Parts: sequence; C-alpha cells; structure tokens
Amino acid sequence: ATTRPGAILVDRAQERNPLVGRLRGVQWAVADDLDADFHLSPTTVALFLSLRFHQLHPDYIPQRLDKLKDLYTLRILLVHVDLEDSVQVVNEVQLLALMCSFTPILAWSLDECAMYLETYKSYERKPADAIREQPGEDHSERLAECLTTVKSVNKSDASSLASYFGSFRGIAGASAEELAAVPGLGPQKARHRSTRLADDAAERL
Amino acid sequence: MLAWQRSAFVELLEQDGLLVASRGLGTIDVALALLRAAAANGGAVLVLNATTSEQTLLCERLALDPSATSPHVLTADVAAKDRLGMYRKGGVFFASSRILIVDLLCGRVPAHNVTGFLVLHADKVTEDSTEAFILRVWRSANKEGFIKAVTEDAVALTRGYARAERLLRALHVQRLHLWPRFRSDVQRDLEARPPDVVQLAVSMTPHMRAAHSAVTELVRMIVKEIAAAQGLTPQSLVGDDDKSMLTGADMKVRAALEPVWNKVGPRARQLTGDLASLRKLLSALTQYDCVSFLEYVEMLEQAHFSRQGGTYSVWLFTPAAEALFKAARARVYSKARSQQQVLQLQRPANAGEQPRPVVVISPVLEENPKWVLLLQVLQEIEAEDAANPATGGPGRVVVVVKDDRVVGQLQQYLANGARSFLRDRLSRYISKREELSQDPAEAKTKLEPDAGEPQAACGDQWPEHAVQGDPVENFNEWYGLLPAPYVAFHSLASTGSLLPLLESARPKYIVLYDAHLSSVREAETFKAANPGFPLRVYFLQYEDSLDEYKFHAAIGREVQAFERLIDTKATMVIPRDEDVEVPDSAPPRPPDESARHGGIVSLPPSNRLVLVDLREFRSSLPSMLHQRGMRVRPTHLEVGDYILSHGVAVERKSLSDLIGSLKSGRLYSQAEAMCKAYKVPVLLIEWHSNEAFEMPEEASPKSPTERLVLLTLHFPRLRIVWSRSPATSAELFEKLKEGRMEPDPDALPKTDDDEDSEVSANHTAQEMLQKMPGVTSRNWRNAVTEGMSLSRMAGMSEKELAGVLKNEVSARTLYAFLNKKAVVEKGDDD
Repeated sequence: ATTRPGAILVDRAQERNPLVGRLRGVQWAVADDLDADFHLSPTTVALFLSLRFHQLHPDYIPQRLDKLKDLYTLRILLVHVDLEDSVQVVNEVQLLALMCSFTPILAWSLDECAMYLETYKSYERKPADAIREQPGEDHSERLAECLTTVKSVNKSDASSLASYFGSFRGIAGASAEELAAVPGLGPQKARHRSTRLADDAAERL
Repeated sequence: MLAWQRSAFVELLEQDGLLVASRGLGTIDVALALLRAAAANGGAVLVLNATTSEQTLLCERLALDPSATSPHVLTADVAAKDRLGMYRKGGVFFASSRILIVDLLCGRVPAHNVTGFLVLHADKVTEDSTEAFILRVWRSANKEGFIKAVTEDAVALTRGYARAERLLRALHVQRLHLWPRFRSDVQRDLEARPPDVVQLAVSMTPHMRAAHSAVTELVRMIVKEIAAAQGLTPQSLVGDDDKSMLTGADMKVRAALEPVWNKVGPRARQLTGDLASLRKLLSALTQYDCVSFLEYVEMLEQAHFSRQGGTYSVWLFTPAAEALFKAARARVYSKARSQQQVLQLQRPANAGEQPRPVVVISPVLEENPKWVLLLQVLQEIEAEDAANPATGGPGRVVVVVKDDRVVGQLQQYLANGARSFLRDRLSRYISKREELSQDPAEAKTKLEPDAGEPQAACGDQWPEHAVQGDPVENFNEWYGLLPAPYVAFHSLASTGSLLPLLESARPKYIVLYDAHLSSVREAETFKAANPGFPLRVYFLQYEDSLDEYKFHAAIGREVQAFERLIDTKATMVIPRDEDVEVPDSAPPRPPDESARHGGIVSLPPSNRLVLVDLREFRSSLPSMLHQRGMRVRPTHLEVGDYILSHGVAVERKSLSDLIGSLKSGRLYSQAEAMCKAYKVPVLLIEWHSNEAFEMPEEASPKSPTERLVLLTLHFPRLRIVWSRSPATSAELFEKLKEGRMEPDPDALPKTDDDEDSEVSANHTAQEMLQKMPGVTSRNWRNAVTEGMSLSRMAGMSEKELAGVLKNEVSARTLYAFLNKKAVVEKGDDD
C-alpha cells in the first residue's frame, strides 16, 4: 500500500468499523490488503481490538500481533474496553501485546478510539515540546503540584498556602507557627501538615 | 494503674490480641506495662506506630526501670550496619515502619531475637499497610513471638466491610478485647470519685448566629440538590435534623454515594467538596478570631475564582452566601468611608490618572464570647485560690484547646486584650491584601484610629510570660517563679493525649475550652488514678453550635461502634495463623483460571526476585508483590522504580502522577533515562481501586491522552502497562517476569550515595525539587550533594542558585518560579 501523506490508511476489512465514521479531524482513505488495520505514518501502525470480540475469538489477535512484530517502529494495539468487568481480559490482551513488542492503548469508547488515531496522525511530526519542560507556564498549577508532594497537603490547602504567602519563597520561609495560622488548613491537622511542610522545606535534601 | 487497666493488661499478656478501649481511657499505661513485662524477658521488642509524644513518654518511663536496658529509637541516623548488632542485643525499639521493613527484607533483623511486636494505633493498620507487611515478613520466620495491638478508635473499626476481622488477620491475632467506657469494670473505676465538673454554656453573638444559619442554609441547599440529582430524599442522605446534617454531611453523602461514585459526575463531586469546605468554615466560626474568619471566607471565594477549568461552586451566588459574607464582614468592620462608599476591593474607574484613593474603614472587631468566659473562669479560680490559702496554695490550671492556632490566639488575648490583638490582626490582614494585590491602582486602605476606645482591662493582669504555651517541659521550671495562677495550654492537635501533662503538672483545674471526648475521659482517668486529689473541670461550650453537636455525636458513634464490635466478636471466625506464607518455601500458586494462553504457570522458586527502589516502600505494591510470593529486595535505583528481570525496568505512576508528570516534563526525562539504561523500559499506569478505570478528560491546552500519544511517538520502545489497582500490578509483574532472566543487583550502575543516606534523605523535598521548573534529572543531584534545603534555596539570589545547580539558564527559570507571586484573581465585589 502506498501512503497518502496526511491521510490515515484504513484496511478494507475495517471499513465498516463504526470507529471509522468517527474520524473527523483527519482525512482517511480505504486501502486493500494492508498488513495492519490502520496505517498512521510510514513508521506507525495500529491494530484495533474490541474486548468483546476478543472474548468470542481469542485466537484472532495473537496471530495478527505475531505477523507484525518485527515491522514498523511503533506498533499500537488499540483496545476498545467494551466490557463491564474487564480487568482480567485487559491484562491478558496487554500481555499478548507486550510479548510482540506492541504498545497497548486502552480507550473506553469508540470516540476515544477515534481520538487516539487522529492524534497519532496529526502528531506524526510534532516535536516533544508539550511533554518537555516549559518554562514559565501555568505557574499556579506547577506550584500546586509541588506543594501537594507533601502527602498531607491537598489541592485546596495548596491554593490556601499560595494565596496566603504569595510565592514558594514565602511558603518555604514560613515557620510552622506561621503556616499553622493560615486560615482554612484543616483545623485538626493544621499543625501536623504545616510542620511536615516546614520540616521538609527546612531539612537537608 | 486502674483496676480495669490491670485486667486488660493481664488479658493481653496471656494471649495475643487487639485491645480496643474507649477514647481517653489511658491505654498508654497498658502499653507501658506490656513493654515492661516483655523487656524483662530479654530479646528485642519492637513498637510500631507510636507518635513522637508517645515515644517520648514511653522512653522516659522505661528508662526509670533500672533493671531493663534503655529503649532505642531507631532513626536513619543509626547506621544500617550497627542496627543488626542492636537488634541482637535486645531491648525495646521504636522504629519507623519504613526503616524496619527495609531492615527485615535485607536480612538485618534476626527474626528469632525479636520476641514480639507491640502495635499502637492499630486502627491505622490495613492489609496493604507497611505495618501489615512487617508483621507478615516477621511472622513467616518466627511463629512463636507475640503480637499485641492497642487502639482507642472503636469507630474506625466499624467502617468498611468486615474491617475488624480483616484487621485481626492483618495483625495475625485472634482475640478482640473490648473495653468500652460503659463496661461495668470501667464505670466502677471512673465513677467512684468523679471530678467536680462545671458546665458553662455561652451564646454566639448575633453576627455569629447569622453566619451559622447562613451556612446551615447552604448545606441544606446543597444536600437537597445532590439528593434530587440521585433521585433520593435529603433525609436518606444525612438524617432529618440540622444536627445530624451539620456533623459531617460531606462524609455521609460520600458514604451514601460510594457505590455509584464513578457515575455521579463532576457536579455532584464538586458539591460534595463544597460541603466539606462549609463544614470546615462552620468549625472555623467558633475557632478563629473574627479577622481570621473573614480571611478564610474570602479565601474560599478567591480559590473559587482562580480555579481553572473546574466546575463553579454555585452556592457562592446565593442569598445565603451573601448573608454569610455580610455577617463575616460585620464582625470585623462596619462601614468604609471614602470617595467610594465601598470596600477596599473596589477598583477606581480611571486608575491611571488619579492618585490612589484612600479607603478608611472603621473597625468593629468582635470578641469571641468564649474568650470572655475563659477570662471569667480564670478570675474565679484566682479569687478562690486567694480566699482559701488552706487548700495548699494556688492550683495550676490546664486549658485544653483544639490546636496551636487557638493557643496563640488565647495567649495574645490574655496578655494584651482583645482590642489590641484584633487590631493587630486587622492591620496585618490589610497589608497582606495590598501586598498580594497586583493592581497598582487599587485603593489604599486605612484603619480609622481607635481613639477613645477603652482598652480591655485584662491587659495587665495576665502578663504574657505567665501564660505558657509549651507546657510539658517548662511547667516545673516556671512554677514558683511566677505570680499565680499558672496557666498552661494544651493543644489537642499537636500533642494528643492529655494524660502525660496531667501527671507531670498535676493541675487542680482543667478548663476544657474545646471539648474533645478523649480529654473529658482523660480528666476522669486522671482523677480516678489520684482519688485524693482535688480536681475541678470547667467545660466551656457554645450553645447550639457545631462543636456541641459534634461532641454529642462522637459519644453516640462510639457507643454504637462498641455495640457492633460486641456483636462481631460473638460471631466472627478468625483463622489460626499457620497459613502465613514463607516466600522461600511457599508451594506454587494454583494456575490462574482466567489465563487462557499457554496455561500460566507460577514462577519457579528460582525466578521470584524483584528489585524495588527504596522510595517505593511508601506505596503498597512491594507488600503485594511479597504477598504473591515474590522476593522483594530493597535497592537504591537511579532509574525506574522496579527491576523485574534482566533488562526490564518499570516506572510506576498513579493516574494523578501520570497527568502531572506528563505536563511538567518529568516523565519525558524519566522515559529518556529508562530507554537509555534498559532493554525493556515499562511505564506502569496504576489506578486506585476506588477510582473509575478510565482516562479522565481534561482539556486545556492538551489532554493527558494527547500527551501520552506524544510520549509513545517519541519513545516507541517504551512499553505501557495499564493496571486497574496495585493488586493488579503485582499480578502483571509476576506474568511479565515469566521466561526472563532474574535481575542482577550487582549489575546496577554504582552510585556514590550509600543506602543510609538514601533512607534518611528527605524524599518529599527531593521530589518537590524535581517537580520545579529549571530542575532537571541532571542538575538536581547537585543541590543534594551541596547539602541544600528547600527553604535555603528559596531564599537565594539567582546567582547563588546558579552556583548550586551549576547552570545559569536553569537557575534563572528556578529563581523565577520560586519568587513569582501566585496570581489571585478577585471576583467582582459589590
């Protein structure tokens, strides 16, 4: 099959998969005799598996996985979790995928499945910026993430601390007593959590 | 020891078991007696879960025994190699659970030298806890030693399915010993010569009342809405009357919705969260001074407006909320006089051109009624002592309060009077507002001078130095040096049990400023142990307040809990302990039925080793691996959390960790390092068993799923494993190990940190540092080797930081993060 740039190639056998109708953000084209269900880029392919289908036809997926195991850089097994009590089956499918060097991706609805395929296509050449450190972004969120590292500090405590002391510098410099004076830290645990935070900040790393 | 304590001690000494007593009955004395008896037999006795103050108390008492060796407190300051020798020598040990589990798994604890375990606060132990892990490992090597456990929280033992039975199993004991306050032996002891109790009720001020009813109204409204959405009646959720509604509506709603929690949707979750905020607010109403209360109310408002992408708290826009804000403000100031007839929040119209307007507010500063009552009580005590010199001179007074915040508040009140204390708070409040405000044009606020206001008369009567905040150590030092009466504060939140203070200070008067069930019982217990000693207890309470409801609810809940435990005890079946698995000789597990392919065979005994990073012992997964018969070896791993097999490394992320670390870029560098160091790098995404098993939809600007896609595109070799719960993770690990070579601990890259510094390291702070912008997987160790602390780094200049991180660009980013003001957006104020 030839890759049409910008489009997801869908194997003929998947044409009637309701998931295909949900691909909205990207172009797609049906092709015959593809080795994988979806060709997302020259190096990325995906197989689709519904858990319900897998329960009825347990022999289907191992064969397909096996055929592809040495081709392509990134092989996705897109698993539609369409069973209520799914844990055992999910585990089984994942282990099969891992054995053949596939990356299992779980999705809980067909829309979510379609979203993954679209994202793989549109991110084909995207740099890693969004998952690498970005300076100066979302300050209050970063601050909250730092503060909630202390087990006893939850998100609302973190926002109380931030709005009371202003900056991380203000919080780290505060004594246990000053921290305990912050209104809204749970009255019973105020002392405990504030000392934890004060100790952790003051103690040697 | 009281008669019941002696019976409880004998009972527990003869047979292993769990002692459950009512709150405040002084089980620490039973624990002490057990330790004395055990220490006399030689060998090592290990104490788990002791709080710092209990540890201090028990150590002091044990040291009084000349015959026994003095107790050891094992912290990471004691080098690992010395610990083995110490365990061999025997004696009583207090060790943190994390150190102990690592020592046990590394073979540093000679199991047969350990004669037994004493577990305090046993209610905290669950099947997945490190304490249960410790007991399981030790029990598998030592079948003879004793395990005794003690708790005063009966209510905790009735929460959840078969909690008591499961706890006994986790503790490896069969017996449940119940000592409720209503048991006749206990009643006989405590009621023979009860203390003299004076109950004083005080009303809230009209403004406080208004705030109280506004919150009640809000709670009622929210409960109604949640109930309607679930097709339930409000009564079925939280009971019929205000009292049962206000005492923990959020917990009751949460419990009622637990089975369907995954499906209730963000709105109901938000509302349940709002209920929790309102409960805290209601207890702050009587606890905080009026300025702090206002600050708290406004903070809730701000937190709401600065929340990003969340659901809005609708209650903020109701008339009841309006009434709450009004009442909170009315307690602090009456009206602002200025160009604008409004509060200091209002922004002027043409900010740029005008000079900053000045708003003058006239302070009201309402005193808490309980303060006045406390002062009256102290004056009464003073007068009485003066009138009766024959009673042996002035008596000491212990004032029991909820937490340190109240201690500070009362010390200031007694020393300087309400007016000066509150004015001080108010000017701090105003300057804080202005400091945080990002708008330079915002009106400046000025306090109206306090001219002509009479200063509270109590100022000179209670010099600050006569009022001790940190009583236990200092009481005797101060005694005799100061004018009477001697007042000591006891903060329940920070020191817990009152008994040690009662025994060392021997007060004639106890003022229960904040009543907690345990303090009342502790006063009774102290009096019963000292029948000849005159003791009067003043019990201060607001009428019709949350505090009052809570106190009565706590008594009722405890009685109910004991009744249930008595039933449980009569019917429960606890299997004997012979079935503890020994990892090295356990029979192979039966094949898993669900495994269709290749008939999963359990791992051969030669293939059960897993290397686990020391930091992971805070989670329950190592315990579960051990439970499945794997050999867990604590190791210091530079990269990854677990090494399953040769070349197979796993980084474990809880769902919330995953989302956070994808966003911050931490996962990117971890994935990079894992792919470099290992042939099969695995990212394990782990859900909690009570979380819905799905990826949350969280937009702006990128969803976690989009970031995950990006991660797999950039690291195609990274394998992702999705795990429903820690128990599932353990199962998956076992299967992933099949057919692979055992990990080789000696092949790990050598690091210069030794294990001791790793155990003692401040992991939380290290983790916090790693989450900061500018800190990378390469430069953060520099800060550690430099011996930094977070508070020191936070105070540094950009240049100094560059010296620490050895990188100027990183230092600039980090400096900006540390010093940047958190943006607090304000709502439109009216």
